[in-house]
Amino acid sequence: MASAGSGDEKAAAAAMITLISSDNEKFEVTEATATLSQTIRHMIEDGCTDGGVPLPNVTSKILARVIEYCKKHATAAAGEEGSSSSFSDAAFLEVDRAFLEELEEFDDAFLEVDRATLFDLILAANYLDIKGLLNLTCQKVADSVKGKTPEQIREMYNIVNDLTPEEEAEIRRETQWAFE
Amino acid sequence: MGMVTRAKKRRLEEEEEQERLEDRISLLPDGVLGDIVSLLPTKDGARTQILSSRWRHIWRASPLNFDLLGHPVAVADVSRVLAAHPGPCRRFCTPLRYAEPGERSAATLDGWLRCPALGNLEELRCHYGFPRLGLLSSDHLPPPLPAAAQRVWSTLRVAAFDGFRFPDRDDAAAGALRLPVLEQLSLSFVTISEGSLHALLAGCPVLQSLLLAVISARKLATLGQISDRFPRLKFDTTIFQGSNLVNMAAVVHSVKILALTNNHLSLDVAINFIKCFPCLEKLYIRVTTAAGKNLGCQKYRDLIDTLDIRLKKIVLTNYRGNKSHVNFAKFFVLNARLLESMVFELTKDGIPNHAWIKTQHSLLQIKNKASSGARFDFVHRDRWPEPLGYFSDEQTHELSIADPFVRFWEWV
Repeated sequence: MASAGSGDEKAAAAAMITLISSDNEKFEVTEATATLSQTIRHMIEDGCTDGGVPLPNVTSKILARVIEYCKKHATAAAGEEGSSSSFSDAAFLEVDRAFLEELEEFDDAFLEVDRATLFDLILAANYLDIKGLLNLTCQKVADSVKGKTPEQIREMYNIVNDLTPEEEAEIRRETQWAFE
Repeated sequence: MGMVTRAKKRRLEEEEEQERLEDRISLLPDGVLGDIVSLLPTKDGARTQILSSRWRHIWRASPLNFDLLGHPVAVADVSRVLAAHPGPCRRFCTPLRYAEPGERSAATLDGWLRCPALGNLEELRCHYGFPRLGLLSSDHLPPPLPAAAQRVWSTLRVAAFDGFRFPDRDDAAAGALRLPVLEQLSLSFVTISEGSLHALLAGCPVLQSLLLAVISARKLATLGQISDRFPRLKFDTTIFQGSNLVNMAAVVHSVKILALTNNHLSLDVAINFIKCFPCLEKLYIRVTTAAGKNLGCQKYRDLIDTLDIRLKKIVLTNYRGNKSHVNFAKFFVLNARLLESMVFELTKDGIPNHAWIKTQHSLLQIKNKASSGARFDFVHRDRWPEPLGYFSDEQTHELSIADPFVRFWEWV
């Protein structure tokens, strides 16, 4: 174990996992990055990652983005651990704050995607069980519908209203307070 | 050949067009749609039922996020919401505007808490009795903690109460104050007897973060000078004076962060907290008056050998640099061996100049600091909130971020 080595050496020594996208592209990632996904974490724990982890539900385009997210957030997690044990550094407050801001900026930029990609990311986050990413992407969708009327939401997301007028009236009656 | 290419191109365009018009959102799994609905304000969430038959049952099937703070619902409608949703409710948050003077608001809240939808609640925030001058200047007591709150004690992870009267220890209700999974607790403007507070803390075995702000200690003799306008708003030496707290059966090891307002910057209070919470790492104190009677370190000489101070960070908001405050801070300068940072946030008028800071360094005996790596910062805030402005305690408990109390001065 390279316990006394620098961060780079440690990373090199760390176990690598191969992820295989639906279109058969292979991605090498560190275990720390991969285990942000609970699904993969369980696979590692069960010892069934030899020969790579096939992810038939995730395309290479989306998997690359997901890995980008996990890498950034895995570094963040490692950074937090590091700072709490050695923040005798005088400016630790500022460092932490700057780091959190950087992470927020990363997340904001990460969400700058078209809608189809956003839904693909949601599905991937759900399938891979990456809580942070799922929450981030769902929040983006929630923010986009917040304060909108049902008509506006339907138009925005091409939702076809297949409720009968009677059913609609029933919902409005049951939850009148929400429509006032 | 050309024909084929054109046909292919048209097909691609059609596919793109179809993709553009496709209802991707409704294809998401139920659980994910539920997550999205849960993230919406209560009314917006409920309205999604009418989007289409796909959405019809999502709202009811996903955990209710009932936050009345940012998105108010009429009082009469709160019960209707709770009746319409089968639960579970993840978060129930009622702000001050739902409070009415006297017992009535407590009765209303009690009724809400009895709704099946609120079983297994994880987060309960009741901002009820924000101090109103009229109420607090009289003998009027805040409403009692709703008896129905007991229903959710066993599942609460986060609780915030303001403006309630906690049952006395002798009451049967006090015996039921056991919150086995509670991690964060905020009490502000509450009336609680010393015994009940001890019992409450002892009943929270996994508490990690505690916020106490302006607690009125009924039945206890009050000491020191308090404002005429807020005779009941008092949280200082009276509660934790003497050895009572230390003798309590359960010393709480889980608490690492503590924030409190303190009329005077009282070293006795701080020391008692350190005894009560021996693993405390971060202490935030907002002082409300310059007065104080902290004595020099001699008084505590006997104590120092037995007291293990593990504090890494101390923030003193409204630090004045007078003798009492210096004595307070000096105690930690000289005795907190693990201290990493001590921040002195000065009052509005106290823009620190170099000479003043230099004098403070000398008065605080910083050259004799117990922790060689400790840093001492004097900072000035150019904007101050109202002395008793409304505060949000949510950010203060965020243990996930490096320093949850960074903006401590904004909320008390």
